Amino acid sequence: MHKLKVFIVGIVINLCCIMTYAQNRITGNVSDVNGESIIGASILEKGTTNGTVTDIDGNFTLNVSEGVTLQISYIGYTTQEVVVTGRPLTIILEEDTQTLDEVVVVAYGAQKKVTVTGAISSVSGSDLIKSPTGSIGNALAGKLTGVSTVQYSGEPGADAAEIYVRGVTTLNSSSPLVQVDGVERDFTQIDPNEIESITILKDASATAVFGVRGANGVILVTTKRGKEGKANISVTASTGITVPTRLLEFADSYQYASFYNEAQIRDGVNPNNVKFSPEMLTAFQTQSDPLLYPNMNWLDYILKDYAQQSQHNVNISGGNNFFRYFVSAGMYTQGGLFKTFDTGYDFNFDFKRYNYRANLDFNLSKSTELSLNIGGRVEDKNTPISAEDQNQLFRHLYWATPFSGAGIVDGKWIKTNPDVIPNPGSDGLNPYYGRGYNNKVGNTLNVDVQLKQKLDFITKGLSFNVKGSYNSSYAQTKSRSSSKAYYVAVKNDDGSMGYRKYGEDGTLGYGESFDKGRNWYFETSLNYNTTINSDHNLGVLLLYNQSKYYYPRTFTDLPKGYVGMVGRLTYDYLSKYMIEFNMGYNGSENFAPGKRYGFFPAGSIGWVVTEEPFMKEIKDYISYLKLRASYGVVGNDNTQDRRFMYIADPFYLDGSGYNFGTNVSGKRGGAYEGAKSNPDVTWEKAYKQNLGVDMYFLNDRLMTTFDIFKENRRDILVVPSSLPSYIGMSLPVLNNGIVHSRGYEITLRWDDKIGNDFRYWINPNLSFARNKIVEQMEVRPNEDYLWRTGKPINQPFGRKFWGFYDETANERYKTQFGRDIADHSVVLKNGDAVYVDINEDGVINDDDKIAMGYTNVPEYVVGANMGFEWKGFDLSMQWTGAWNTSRMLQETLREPLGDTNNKGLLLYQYEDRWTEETASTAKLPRASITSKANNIVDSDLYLVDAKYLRLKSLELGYNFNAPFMERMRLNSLRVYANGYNLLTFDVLKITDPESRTSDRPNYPLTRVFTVGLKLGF
Amino acid sequence: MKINIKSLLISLTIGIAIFCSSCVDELKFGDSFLEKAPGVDVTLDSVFAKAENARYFLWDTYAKLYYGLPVYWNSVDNKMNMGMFETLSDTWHSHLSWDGVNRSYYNGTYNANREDTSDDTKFGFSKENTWEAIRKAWLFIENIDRVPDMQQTEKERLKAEAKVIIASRYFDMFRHFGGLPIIDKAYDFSLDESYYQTLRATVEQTVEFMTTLLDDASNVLPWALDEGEISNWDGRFTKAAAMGLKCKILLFAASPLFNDTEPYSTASPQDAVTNYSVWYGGYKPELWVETLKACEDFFREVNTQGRYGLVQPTAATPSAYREAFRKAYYTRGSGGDNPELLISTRVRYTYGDDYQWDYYFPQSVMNGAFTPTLEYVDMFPLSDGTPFDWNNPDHVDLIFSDRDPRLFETILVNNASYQGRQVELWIGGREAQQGPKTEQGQFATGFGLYKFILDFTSARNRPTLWPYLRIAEIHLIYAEALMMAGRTDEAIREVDKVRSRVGLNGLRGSNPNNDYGNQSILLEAILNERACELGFEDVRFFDLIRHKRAQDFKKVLHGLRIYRLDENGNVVEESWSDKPANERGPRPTEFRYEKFQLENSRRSWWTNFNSKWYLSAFPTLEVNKDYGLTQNPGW
Repeated sequence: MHKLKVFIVGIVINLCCIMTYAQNRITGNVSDVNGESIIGASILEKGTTNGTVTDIDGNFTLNVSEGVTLQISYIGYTTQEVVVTGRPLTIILEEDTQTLDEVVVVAYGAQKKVTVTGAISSVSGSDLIKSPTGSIGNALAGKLTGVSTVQYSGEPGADAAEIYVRGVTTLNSSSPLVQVDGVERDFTQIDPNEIESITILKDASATAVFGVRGANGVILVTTKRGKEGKANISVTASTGITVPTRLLEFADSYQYASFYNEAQIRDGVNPNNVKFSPEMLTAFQTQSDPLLYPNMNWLDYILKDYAQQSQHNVNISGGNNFFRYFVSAGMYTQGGLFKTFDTGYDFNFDFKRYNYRANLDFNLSKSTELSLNIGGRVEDKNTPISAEDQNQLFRHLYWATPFSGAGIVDGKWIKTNPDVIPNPGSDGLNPYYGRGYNNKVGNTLNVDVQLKQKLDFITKGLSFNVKGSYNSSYAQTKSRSSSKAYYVAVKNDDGSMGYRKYGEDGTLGYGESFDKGRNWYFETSLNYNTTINSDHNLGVLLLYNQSKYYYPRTFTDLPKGYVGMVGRLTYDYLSKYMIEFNMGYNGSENFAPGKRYGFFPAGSIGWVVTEEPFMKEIKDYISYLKLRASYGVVGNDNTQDRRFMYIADPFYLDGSGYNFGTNVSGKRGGAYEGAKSNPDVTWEKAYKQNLGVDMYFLNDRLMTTFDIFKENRRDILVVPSSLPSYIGMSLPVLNNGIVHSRGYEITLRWDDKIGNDFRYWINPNLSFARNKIVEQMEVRPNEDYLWRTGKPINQPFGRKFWGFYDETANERYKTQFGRDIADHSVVLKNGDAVYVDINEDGVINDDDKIAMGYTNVPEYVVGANMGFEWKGFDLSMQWTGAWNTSRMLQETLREPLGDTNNKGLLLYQYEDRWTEETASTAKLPRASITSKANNIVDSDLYLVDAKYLRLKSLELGYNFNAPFMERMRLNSLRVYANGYNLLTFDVLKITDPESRTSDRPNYPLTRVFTVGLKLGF
Repeated sequence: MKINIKSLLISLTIGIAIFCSSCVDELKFGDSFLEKAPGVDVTLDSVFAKAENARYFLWDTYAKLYYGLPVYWNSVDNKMNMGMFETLSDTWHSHLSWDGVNRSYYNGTYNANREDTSDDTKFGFSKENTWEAIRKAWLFIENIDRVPDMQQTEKERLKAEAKVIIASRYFDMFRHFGGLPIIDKAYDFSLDESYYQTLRATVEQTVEFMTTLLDDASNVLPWALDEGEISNWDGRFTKAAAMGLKCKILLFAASPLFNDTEPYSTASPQDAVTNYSVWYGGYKPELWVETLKACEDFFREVNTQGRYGLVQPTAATPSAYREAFRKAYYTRGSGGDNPELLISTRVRYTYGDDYQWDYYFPQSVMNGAFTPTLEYVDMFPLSDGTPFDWNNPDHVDLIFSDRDPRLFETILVNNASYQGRQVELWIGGREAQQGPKTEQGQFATGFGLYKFILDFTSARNRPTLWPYLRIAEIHLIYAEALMMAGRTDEAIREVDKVRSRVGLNGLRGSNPNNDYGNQSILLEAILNERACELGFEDVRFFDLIRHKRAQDFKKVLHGLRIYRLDENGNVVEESWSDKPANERGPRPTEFRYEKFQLENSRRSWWTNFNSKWYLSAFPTLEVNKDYGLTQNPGW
C-alpha cells in the first residue's frame, strides 16, 4: 500500500519533471500547524495545470519559474498561495474551520458541524497550549463562549479555576460534568499537549443524553490520537518564572501604632494611657532597636521575588493502516514562593507533575477497530504545614502585625517580647515556620478499551461499539511535622541584649495518610447512519451505560452507581433542514425505588437558510446562515454528598452522651435523632431553551455565532427555613427550589491576509448569564427589598453608605432626605460612617440593607483572541475581561486591626482613613475600635467592583526554516516566549480581582513568563 | 455472512477485560446494577426496643443542658464568642474586644436582626439547643413506655428526669425572653403551616407549664440519689433538684419585671404586653405567696429527708471558710460530698491544659473576658461582715487582707496567693504589667477572676461542672419571699445562714444602723448577699433585670490602679517576685490606690439605657414565620 503510494507519487513527480524540464526545480515541505507532515497535498502553479502532490514526509519538488504563485491545497485545510523565490518553501496549512466536512465532538460521538443544532462551542488543544498555566481550565474563560471561570488561587498544583457553564443556575453545586474521552474524569491536571480539543455542551439538545448529570453543562475533553503516516516526533521544552500578580500591602509598625493610638484616643481613652507610648513610636520610626521594636514587611520578608516553572513534553504519533498511535510524556514543575530560611528541610510549596499517555488504535479488520487509551499522571506536591489548618495559611499570614517579631536573626527566630509591646499579635513566620511539611504523591491511572465493529453485513451504516473504562487514583501524604524554638529579646539591666528561649527545635516527625479512588464505566451502543435517496440523512444512536464510583464521601462502603440509556435521532434533508431528538433515561440509587428513573428528552431543529434558492443572490455577502432552536429537560442529581435521603428517619447510637458521676472520666453513651428524611426526594430538573444563529460573511472571512438561552431550573433541593425553630429537629431537604436563568453568547471571527505573508485574525466573543431565585422557601423578611428570592444566587446585601459624620452631616443629610440622620445604635463621632435609612424608620439596622453589586462569578465574560503570522513569526494573544462581578472584602481586607485588634492593618486602611485633615478625600471611616461595629458592617464601602480586563496569555514565536534543520532531520523548529496573566486592568487595586476576599484567602494568583523551544522531527 | 474470527476473539477478550475491571463486582445491568440503599441500622423503633438504647437517648438529652462557661467553638458552647452575659451586669466587665458582649451590647448595636445573623448574642432563641433538648425529651417521654426490658418504675423516673430537662430549658429561655410557645409534644414534619400555629403563651401559662412539669417530676423522682449511686450517676435530676428549680422559677416570675402594676417597657411593638407574654398584667401578690410556699415545701423536705444543706466550714478559720465556699459551688456529688449542690451540669470530666482546644475557658479568662469591677469588689464586706468603706483608712488598710472570704474565692486580688507565691496586680507587677494602666487584658481593672479558674494550675484536672442551682441560692430566694410576706426576721435569718457559713456576722450585727423593716433596705442587703455568694453564677445580671434596676445598668463602672510604693513613697513599676531573692528586698507592702473609670470599652448603656434591654429580641425571621410569636417590646 505504502509502496504503491510512493510509486504513484514518484510517477507524478517524474511526469511533472518531464513537462517542465526547462524550469527551476524547487523543493518544499507542507505540514500542519502541529508540525505534522501533510501527505498528498496538492501543489499547483496558479493558472496552469503544472502541479504535484507531497510525499509521505510532506516534501515535494516542482519545476517552476521564479516569481510564479503556487497554490497549495489539501482537504480540510485552507488553501494557501505562495510566491516562488527560489529558496526551499515551508508551508504550514491551517485547518479550515469552515469546511462542511468539519466535525465537532458531541456527546457520545462526533457530528458534522453543519448539521449541529445544539449550542456547542469548542477550542483546539493547540490554542490552549499558548497559556503557560498549570491547569488547562484556567485558559478557558474568554476562549470559549458560555464559560465563566474564577481562578481564586495560584498555589502550585492547586490553581484550578472554578468553572461554570452558562453561569450559576442552581442553589446547589453548579459545577459542570467533565468527561475526558467520554468518561467522567478530572481534566485540570492533564498535560495540555495531550489535548486535541475541548468542547462545551450548553443547551438541552447537547446535554439531554447525560440525563441526571447534564444540567450544569458538560465539558468534553478529547485527547489526541495517531494518524496514518510516518512517525512525527514533537519535543517541547519551556522554562520560566512565576511572580505574584499582586500582594497585599500592609502598614508599617509606626503607621500601625499611630493608627491604634489614634483609634483609642478617638474612642475616648486618655491619651496618656494609649497602648503605644511615644517611646515605642519613636523606636518604630527610627528602628533604633529592631529586636525589641521591629518593623517587618512580612510578605516581603518571607516570599521570594519569583519561583520557577518548567514544562516539557515529548510525543510521537503516526501509524499505518493497521496501527495508529499517539504516545506522550510530559512533565510540569512549579516552585513555590516561600523562602525556607535555614530549617534544613524544604517546606516550600512545590508541584511536579508527570503525565503520560498512549492512545492506540488497531484496525483489526476492515470493519473492526480496537482502541486502547492508557493515560495517567504522577503528582508530587509539597505544602508547608500551617497553623490551625491547611486552608488558613494566608489568613494567618495576613493577621501578622509588623512589630510582632523580628524574623530570623543570627539563626534565632525572634518574636516580640510581650512585656515590651503588650499583646503584639502573631508574627509572619508563626503560621508555617518550623512546622514541617506535607508531601503528597498521587498516582492517577485512566484506561479505556473500546471496540468499534461495523455491521455493514447486516445493513450498511450500522455499527456496534463497546467500551470499558477504569480509573483509579491513589495518593500517599507524608506528614513531616516539626516545631521550632523561638526567642524573645530581653534587654538586660546593663543595656545588653539577651534572649529568652521558648520551645525546642523538634525533629521531623512522620505520619502518613492515604487517599484512594476507583471507578469504572461501561458502555455499549448501536449506531446507524444512512443516506436515503442521497437526500435524506438519518442517524440513530442507542447506547447503554453504567458506572460505579467507589469510596464516596458518605456511606463510603456503598459505591455510587448510575445506569443510563441514551437515544439520539438525527435527520437532515440535504444538510438544509435538520431535526434532532436526544434523550437520556437515567437511574440513580439516591432516590427511592419508583422514583429512581428519569426521562430527559430534548429536541432541536436547524435550517440552513443559505441553501435555499432565494438566498443565492446574496451569497456573496452572506455566505452561510443557519438558524437553530432547541428545547428540552436535563437533570441534576448533585446533592453534595447527601445520599439516600429517602430512607427511614435515621437515629444514631454513637452520640456524645453525658459525664455523670463524681469521678468517672468517660461519658455515658448517647443516642440521637438524625436529620429527617424525605421519601419523595428526587433530582433537579432544568428546562432549557436555546435559539441560535450562525452567519458567515464575505466568503467566510467573517464568521459570527449568536446564541440566546433561557433556563428554568426546578425541584432544587432546599431546606425549608420557614418552619418554626421550636420543632427542634434537623429538617429534611425538599425539592422546592426554583431558579431561572438566561443569557446570550456572541462569537465573531475575522480571519484574513494582507499580502501573501501577513495573516491575522481577531476572534472576539462575549458571554452573558444571569440567574434569579424564584423560590427557595425563604422566610418573609421585614422589608420587601430584603427578599433574597427574586435576586441572583449569592447576591450581596449591605447598607448604603452615605458619608462621614461631622458637625454638618445632619444638616446635609436633612437637606438630602428631609429627615435627621437615623439612630445608628452607636453615638456617631466625626469620621464615622453614616448610612442611609432605607426604610425610613429612624433606625439603622439590618433592615436597611439593600441588594448591591454582583456575585463572585461574573455575569459578563468577554474574550478577544487575536494574532498574526508574518514570515516565520507569529503572535497570538488572549484577552479576557469580566464584569458585573463584585467582591465583598472580608476580615483582614476589611477590618482594620482585625477582630482581636492585634491583627493586620492594610496600608490602604491606614492611608484612606478619615481624619480631620483628609475629611474631604477620605474613603474609609476614622480609626476606631469601639465604632467598628458601625463602621465595618457590610456596606458598599467594602463591596468592591471586581471587573477586570486581562492579557490572559500572549505568545510570540518564530518558526525557523533553515538549511541546518534538514541536516538535523528537523521538520520544524520553533522558539517562543509566552506568558500568563501578563497585564491586568481593574479597579479593585488592593488585591487581584479574581482572588478570594473572604476569611479564607488563598495563595496569590501568579503571572507567568516562559520561553520555550519546540522541535518537530 | 462473513464475520471476522479475529474481531470476534477480540470482542470476547474485551468483554472479559471489562468484566475483570469490575473485579469483585458481579456483572449486573440495569436496575439490579444500582446499589441497595443502606439498611437504616437505627430507627426510633429500634432505639426504644432496648432499655440501654433508650437510656442512651436520655443521656444525650442531658448533654443539651445549659452550661454557663464558654468552652468550645460552636454556636452553643461558645456562649458570647468567649464572653458571658454576666459581664453586662455591674459586677463584671469584659475587656475582650471581640466577644459578643463588646461587639453587640457595649457598643449598643444589638438589635433583633442580630439574633438572625449572629451566634454571640446573650442567648439565642434558636441557637442554644433548647428546642432540640425539648424535642428529645418529648420524644423520650412519648416512646419510653414501648421499651420491653425496663421496669415501669425506672420508666417513670426517667420520664420525670426528662420533664425536668424540659422545665430547665424553658427557664433558660424564659429569663431572657418571657412567655414562650408551649411545646408539649414532639412535632412531626409537615409543610402544613396550620400544623405549626402555636401562639406565644403568656408569662403565667409559661410559668405554669414549667412548674407543672416540675411538680409531676417531684412526685416521681427520688429525693436524692442513693449514696451508692452518686459516684457513677451524680448529675441526674432528683426531687430536690425539681423542687429547688421551682423556687428559682417562681422567684423570677414573681419579681417586678413581670409582676408589677405596669409593664417593664412601653416601647413598640406592644403586642407581647397586651397579650401578657411579658408580664402578668398587674401586680399579683399571690405570686410571692406561691414562691414562699415552694421554698417552704423545699425546706420542709430538706428537714425531713436530709442529705442536703449548706456546706459548712470544718473550722472557724478564713481558709476553712474559703474551702467550704469553694466546695459548695465547685464540687460534684449532690447530696453526698457536696450537700449544697442541687443541679450541676457538665460538658466533660476534667481538662488538663490551659490551652485545651475543647475546653477553652482558661483562655477566655486570659483574654480578659471577665474582669471584676471595683463596684463589685466593694460589695464584699470585711471579714466580720462590716460593709467595706473607702472613707475609712482602717478598711483601706485591710482591703485585700481581711475581707469576706468569698471575695478571695471569687476575685483574684493583689497579693493573694497565686501559683505558690503572691500575685502582683500593681502596675508593672508580674501579672498585671501595664494592663490596668492601658486597661487591657486579664487584669484590666486591677483584679482578676478567681472563681472556677482559681490560680489556673489548681483548676486543672479537677472535675468540672456548672453549678446550675445550689441551696445557698434557695436560702436567699426564701429570704426574698419571706421579706415580701413581711416576715422580716425570718428573712434575715435565711440571709444570715448564708453569711455565717463564711464567718460573717449577721445582717443586723454588721449593719446596726440599717432598718431592715424597710423593705428596700432589706432587698438591697439580699441582692448584695446574692451578688457576693453567687458571683459569676448567672445570678447578678438576672437580679438587676427582675428588679428592673436601670440605675445599675447606667452606673459608670470603675477599676483600681494599684501602685507599688518604695519606702520613700515612689512608684515602682516592677515585679518583685521575679527578681533574685538577694536583690529584691522585702516583700512590697505599701500601695497607693487610684480608682479609675472604665473606658476601654465604655458601655452604651451608661448613657443610652432603655428598659427594652431587660428582655432579648426574638430573631426577626423567627417572628416573620408567622406562627404566633410576638416580638418583645422595643425590638
